[in-house]
Amino acid sequence: MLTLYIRSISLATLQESGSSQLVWRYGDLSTPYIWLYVIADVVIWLSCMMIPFAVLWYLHHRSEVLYKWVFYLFAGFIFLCGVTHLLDAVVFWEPAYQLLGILKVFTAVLSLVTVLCLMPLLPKLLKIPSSKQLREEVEQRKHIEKRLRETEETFRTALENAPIGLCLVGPEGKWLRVNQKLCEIVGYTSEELLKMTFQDITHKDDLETDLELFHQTLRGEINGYAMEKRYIHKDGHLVWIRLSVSMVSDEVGKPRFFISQIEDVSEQRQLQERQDKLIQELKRKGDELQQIVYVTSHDLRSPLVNILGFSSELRSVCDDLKQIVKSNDSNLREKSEKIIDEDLPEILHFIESSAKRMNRLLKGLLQFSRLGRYPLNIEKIDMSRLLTEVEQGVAFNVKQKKIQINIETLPPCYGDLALLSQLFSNLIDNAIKYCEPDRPLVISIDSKSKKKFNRYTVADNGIGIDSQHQQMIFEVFHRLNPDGTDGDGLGLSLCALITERLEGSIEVESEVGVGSRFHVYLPKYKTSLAIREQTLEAAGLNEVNIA
Amino acid sequence: MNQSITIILADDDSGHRSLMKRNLGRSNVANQIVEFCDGQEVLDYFKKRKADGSLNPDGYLVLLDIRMPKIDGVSVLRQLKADPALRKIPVIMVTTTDDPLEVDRCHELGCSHYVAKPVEYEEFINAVRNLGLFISIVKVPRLG
Repeated sequence: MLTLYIRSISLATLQESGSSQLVWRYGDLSTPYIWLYVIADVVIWLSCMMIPFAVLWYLHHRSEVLYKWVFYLFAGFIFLCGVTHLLDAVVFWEPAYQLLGILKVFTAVLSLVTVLCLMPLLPKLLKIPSSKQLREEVEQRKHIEKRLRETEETFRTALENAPIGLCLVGPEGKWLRVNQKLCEIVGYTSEELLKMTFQDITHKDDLETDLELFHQTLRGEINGYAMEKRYIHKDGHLVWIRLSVSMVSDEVGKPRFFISQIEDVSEQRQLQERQDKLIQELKRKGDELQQIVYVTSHDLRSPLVNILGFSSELRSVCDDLKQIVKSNDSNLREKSEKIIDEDLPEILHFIESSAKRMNRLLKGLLQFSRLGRYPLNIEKIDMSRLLTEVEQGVAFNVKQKKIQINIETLPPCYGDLALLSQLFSNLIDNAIKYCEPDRPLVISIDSKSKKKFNRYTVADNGIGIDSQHQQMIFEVFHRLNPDGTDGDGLGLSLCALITERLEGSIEVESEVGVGSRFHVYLPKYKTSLAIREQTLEAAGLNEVNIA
Repeated sequence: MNQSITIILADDDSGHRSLMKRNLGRSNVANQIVEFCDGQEVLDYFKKRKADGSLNPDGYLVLLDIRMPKIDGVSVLRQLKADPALRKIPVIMVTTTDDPLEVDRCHELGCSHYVAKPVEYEEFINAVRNLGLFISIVKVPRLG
């Protein structure tokens, strides 16, 4: 049978005894109540044992918890409380009051320490957001996140659907982000572009300028730059674009990326090119017109002076003749002989030759003006064939004068068949006309490929042209030796006009007594010719001749 | 007109030369006439005279066409006027150009007279005569 020590302190008893010694006595507890007391204490003990474990377990899993030491104090305090309750139950069987007392002192000290520590902490703890606040915070953040996503989506859509090419480029030139328009401009997919750098598709002639500006921007010397340059499209053709670049740096000024705007200006370029062509064409037409006016007023005037002058001479000798006849002089025959044998033939010769010369000049002018308005028929020309045909045209001359013509295999070019035939006929005629009478004429025709042109050279071993006259020979009606040959001075100026109309050019290299080399540059591609034709057609400058 | 004066006639058109000669002859200008058909020949002629010492700077009258092959009339005029030994020689420009700019240019360069073709031969002859007389008048005090 257990001996139960019922502890109970009766204040009445204390007062009655008057002693300072506490008196323990058995109270009026009935056995069922004692068990109730013991069981409750045990349950409290067990619970108080569990709580520190729970706290420690929680702390173990939540290492980021603030004021951990408060939790430890709590755990210790509750542990001690639990142990106190256990001893409270034990004392029914074993009167370990001293131990209980000591334990209570520890508990009291620890609880006091806990309270003291907790008090100053309270304002701080209040500042820790409550779960409600946290929920609100989370909500707010979710909202912000949504807005951010929306903004990003807007930005992405704007970038993606912008009507001009937009991209982000890294400090080394790598594409970081590209939009649909840029992909369209250069013909690559965005996946392909993101593996490349802008250097890869920039035309090499523009790369140096671009890189120089790019690095100046990188070094912070300029804020950004704009330029027109060429990209090489995936299928190989060139695309003119206008590029505008600015740089984005981080907080410490380190370059992060470049924002580039890319606008396809091929069309504008083409328009510009057309406009330039048009101005050039108008200028040329103006020059031509001026030259024709000059020629008409000078070269036509020269024979006119003869016709007028010799007409009045004619009148004057006729008067002389009349007087001689009227005078019935015995020396009639003698006196009229000089007039009839010398004066009249000379006068008639000059009048006739001057009229013929005027006729020739007018014909030439007409031909020249027709050529300016002749509608071109641009096609690929088999130059070897063309030259062979031209050679056949002078076959009679070649055979008669023992001329040797060597034609190499020539590459094709673009041009107008009729005009090119005329051009090379003129050059070969010219070589024949100005040959050196002392040696057999040799004409050789060869070619050399240049950048956009083929250069066809007609070389002869004729009399050659003095260096100071070499540029003038292409001017309208310029002739070096007016009486020596029957030329009207138009042959070479027509050649120059033809090459100009065909977007080419002509030049001469010559040495007196050695021979001349005429270089004719003709386009390898159709592009420039086509643009020219379209331009002139649009401007109404290419109308078919009415004359 | 002073018979010792040689008339230098430079024109690339033989018809023009013939007309000028005929008119001079009809007006009793009997001076010696030397013909050239380009500017280079005129300059070569004077160069040769200078070289062999037979140049009499008061003994010439030059008739120059402007549009001539090789060296044009304006260049010949410029070179004559730039040469101290030749600059006193009177020069008449006889040309198809009546462009005022060209006329002014020739006067600036120092030509004595300017006649436009088709030539009013009376004016032309007067010009030649006057210049010829002018030379002889100038010569009198020198001779004296």
